[in-house]
Amino acid sequence: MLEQQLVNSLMLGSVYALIAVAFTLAIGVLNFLNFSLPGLFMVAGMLTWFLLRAHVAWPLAALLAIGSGGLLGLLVERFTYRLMSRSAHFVPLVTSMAFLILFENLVLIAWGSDLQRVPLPFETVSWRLGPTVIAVPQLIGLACAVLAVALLDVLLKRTRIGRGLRTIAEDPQTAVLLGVPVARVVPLVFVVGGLFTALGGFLFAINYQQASPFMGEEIALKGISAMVLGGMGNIWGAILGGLLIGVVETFSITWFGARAVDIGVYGLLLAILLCLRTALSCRWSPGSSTLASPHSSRSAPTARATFRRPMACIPWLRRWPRSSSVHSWDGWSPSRSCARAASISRLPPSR
Amino acid sequence: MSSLLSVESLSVRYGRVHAVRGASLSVGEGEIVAVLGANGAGKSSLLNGILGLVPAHHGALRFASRDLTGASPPQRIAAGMALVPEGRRIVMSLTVEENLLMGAYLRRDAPAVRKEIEALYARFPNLAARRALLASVLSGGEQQMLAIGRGILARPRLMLLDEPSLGLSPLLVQELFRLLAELNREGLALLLVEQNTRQALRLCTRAYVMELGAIVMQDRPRALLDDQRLVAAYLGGSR
Repeated sequence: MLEQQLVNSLMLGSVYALIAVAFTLAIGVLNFLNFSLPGLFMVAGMLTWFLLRAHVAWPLAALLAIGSGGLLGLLVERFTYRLMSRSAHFVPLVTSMAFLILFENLVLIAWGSDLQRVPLPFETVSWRLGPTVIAVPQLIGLACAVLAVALLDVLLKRTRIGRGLRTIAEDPQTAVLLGVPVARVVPLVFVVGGLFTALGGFLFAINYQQASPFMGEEIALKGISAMVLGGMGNIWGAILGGLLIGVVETFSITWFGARAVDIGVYGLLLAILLCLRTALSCRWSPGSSTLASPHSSRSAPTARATFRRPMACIPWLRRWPRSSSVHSWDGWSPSRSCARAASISRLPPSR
Repeated sequence: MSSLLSVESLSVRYGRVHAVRGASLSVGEGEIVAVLGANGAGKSSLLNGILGLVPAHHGALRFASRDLTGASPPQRIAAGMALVPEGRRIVMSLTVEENLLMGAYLRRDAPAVRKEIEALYARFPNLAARRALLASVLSGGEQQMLAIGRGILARPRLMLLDEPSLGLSPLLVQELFRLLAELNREGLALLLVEQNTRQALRLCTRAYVMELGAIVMQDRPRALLDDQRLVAAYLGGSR
């Protein structure tokens, strides 16, 4: 029984993790809370239902559903992030929220508000390990989620474009002066985020065999919580947070009943944040997979700075004409020569 | 005279503030040109305008006999410019080596980049020892070396340097200027913005003086050193 719950919760958790990764990527690189992501999740889920009901071959349906996420992500980028550089900081945030509502209502108009039953395209195959039943699609789903994040990790750490993204994450203006075509790299964040959430939507629809125009809203808060729990901008932290929320949710249902599920999830979030005073990954993180952030790299206690960031969907350009000697000396360094040089730099300029 | 970079009446504006007003200058092949001036004279804005980081409000720019007036920063960097910015702007969350690789962001010849990085490590053993560490552990001097190394990896013909000696100890400043002279001997042209007027004049072949966003003087360093006005304004009395 316990093992069964664990298997179920890992599946649910991997869906949350995918959403959290998409959120954390946008926050980490662009300092932007992309509220339209749950909308993409829902569109992918509903599209899966629609295509499967229309007897489209399931690999094609998967491709179209997941691809829709990338495409819509690009659309959102054009109308939110592009506006960002020229408008007040709340405009893109509100615009992305408007996209969520827009997607929802378009789906409502097209397909109605009912909870739809997703037909399964293949016979469910399952393995029995003693009393535990592991559905193979579940397993494949989980593997897909982990694989997707591993690929993202390689992209960020090992490739040229990944280095460019991490530079943008720390300081967009430095990226510009090194020749990174920021306007061409940034859409990638939206496309990848869209693909991740859409993968989540597809897996959700397949595994729970249901889809509704409101499924995005339900998952949005869980995804954001998972992101916060994992430490914003940390993709492996987002995975950890997603899986943990999945586990807690499943076990809350078993132990306290379905009505208390949110108390379990958000109670735990509150408890962890209050007790640890930091996101999980700040303690346990595989360090360098944290994207960004100028705050955490320059000032020692990272946790508080991390938590200041969600509020800070502030124009990311604000860091440009800042006096520089501060940031070069701020980083701690054990070397004595640095300390000496730092003391020299603080003296008034000699005449 | 074959000039590598020629800027004609460049103006840079931030909103209603004129940071650079119709500055004209040129840098010849393999030359070292210094831009001197007080704080807020518009020197950094001039460099940013030359690299295209801030849109030029007015003016024309030719580089390596190409018109780059409206070109984007990546286009200018690809054409052979590199900026070593004020405050170094090292990416702290990247390793030393990744920072160097960022300098070669626009280059597609990975094997050559690899070779040049190794050559740089031979030149800066401190960086070689810390290649896999986050750049935030570097001291100020090492950061400056990294910033210059990053600039070199763009394989520029002209390097724009914005206050490279800022915040360095006198000893490190000496070392820095030796390095700049060495790079210049290898054929790299330098456009150097400096507050350390004396050092800059000792190094450069020509110098411009900026005041309130405009270029007010241009001469050989010898002549500028003899100019009592300049000495009074920027060198702080007799020494």
